[in-house]
Amino acid sequence: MGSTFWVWLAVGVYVVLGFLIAVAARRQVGVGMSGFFLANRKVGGFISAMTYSATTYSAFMLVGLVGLTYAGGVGALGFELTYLCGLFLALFFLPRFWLAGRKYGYITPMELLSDRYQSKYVGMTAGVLSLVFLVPYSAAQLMGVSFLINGLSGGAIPVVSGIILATLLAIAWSRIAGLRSIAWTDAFQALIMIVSGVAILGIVVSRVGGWPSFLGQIESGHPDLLTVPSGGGMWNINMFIGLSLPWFFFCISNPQVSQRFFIPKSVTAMKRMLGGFLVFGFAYTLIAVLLGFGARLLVPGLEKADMATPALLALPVIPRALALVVMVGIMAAAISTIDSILLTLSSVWARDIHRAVISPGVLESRELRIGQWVIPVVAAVAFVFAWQVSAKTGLDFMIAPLSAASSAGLLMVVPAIIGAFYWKKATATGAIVSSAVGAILVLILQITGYKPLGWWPGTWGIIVCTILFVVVSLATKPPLKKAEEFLHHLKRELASGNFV
Amino acid sequence: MLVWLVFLLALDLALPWGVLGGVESFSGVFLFWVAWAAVAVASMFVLFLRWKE
Repeated sequence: MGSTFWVWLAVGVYVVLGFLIAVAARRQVGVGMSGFFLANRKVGGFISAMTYSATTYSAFMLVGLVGLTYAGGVGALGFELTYLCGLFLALFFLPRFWLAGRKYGYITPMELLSDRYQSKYVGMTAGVLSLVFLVPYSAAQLMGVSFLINGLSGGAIPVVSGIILATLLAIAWSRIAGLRSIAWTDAFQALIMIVSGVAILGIVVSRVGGWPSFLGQIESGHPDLLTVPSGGGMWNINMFIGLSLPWFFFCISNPQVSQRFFIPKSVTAMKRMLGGFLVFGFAYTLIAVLLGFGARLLVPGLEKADMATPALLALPVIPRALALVVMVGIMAAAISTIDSILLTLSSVWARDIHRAVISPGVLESRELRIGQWVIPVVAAVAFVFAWQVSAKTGLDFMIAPLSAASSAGLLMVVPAIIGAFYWKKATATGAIVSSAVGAILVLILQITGYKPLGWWPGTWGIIVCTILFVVVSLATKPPLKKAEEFLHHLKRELASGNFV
Repeated sequence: MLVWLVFLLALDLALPWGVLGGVESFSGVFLFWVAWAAVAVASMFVLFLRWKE
């Protein structure tokens, strides 16, 4: 039987197991918006850690980051570990989101902003930015799956088939039981991701002749990959900052991640979520980067760096069964991210756009139905984007830069988020103007490819956005009563929990 | 904590593109970033393990 059969068989087993878990999760699904989108804020530490990990780490890692390492070397390690260091921000914001969510019943991070700034248009603006910028990020995940299946089947399964399959699974798993089905399937998928990653790295290193040989061959054959800016100057400091800056703020700028700050059932669960994620992230980053180096040794000369992992898995020296498990692991990584994005965006549409602006006073049951119907719509848009982009080549369309470009747009909400928790004088107008103008600037710079002084769009965007936020806030009237009540409550609770 | 974070970020840029710029070996930038991240993660553990119910 050909490789196509085995690829479909592995995918079939994964799909069946995933559905069994999602359906089992449905038995415990709560009612209303909080039940569907936040699992009633009662998720335990282990599941919280796994869903946080699986949502954050996606096809970007074992496809995109491997490709980035393959193309430019060790700079990819610094870039990804800088992201991990950005979890310092979670030390500040995780307890604040969690405490505020419990006190005020927020469903989305945007709802928090709307309430804190006393303007529904703040949440709506942030919601629209999420809808715009998370589409390329979702598309990057779909591309990851499709490249992989295409490569492993020797091109027999077209790229578009992988995109369709991933889209349908993401829709199904987010619709079945909302966050509960996503969290459970994420936990299952996170375990597949890490176990398959360790296994394939072990095989790659052993095929090269063990660790000393692996390290020695890279040092002697590709020494430029071990330094920055590396061969061809790919990792110049502007590119590093341009990619890392949005990534550093990822945990608060990406709503599919910060929405998870609402879900732990207790402080202990919150600590386990953060600790589990840090360990997972550190290990998974090393695995991905070392695989990138391994690919340079075993499959040199690839035209498209994002094909490094598929090419590696297709090698005869890699056991077929292991290659299929890794393929499923990467597919799991991608789908666990897309379904979380779909769920978050649907909650944002229902709560921060439909209920807040279009139809105030809508019944919660109808709001929930609207959110559920938005899931396939957003998925369809991401599908079209992925389909178009997957036909292009070059660094600008590699998965990692595409993902970072999305985060650059979402970065423009960061000053408003920081201001909500730390600055009484921050205003709704400041939040709206800064995030909207910053996002437009980022979009223009990304579309035109223009990099003044060599600085990337996210760098320019955050500078302009921060200045605007401060200046406009100082020039307009803040909602002082709400700010004082909100910040006073948090101050008291933060002190009693020994938070930072 | 903010000072510590800023210090870590300064190292993140200064060493790889500065002192370690010409070291073409795993004991250069690669080892630095692994150790740097390990220290960052460990310090986060120290801070959040103090949280209480």
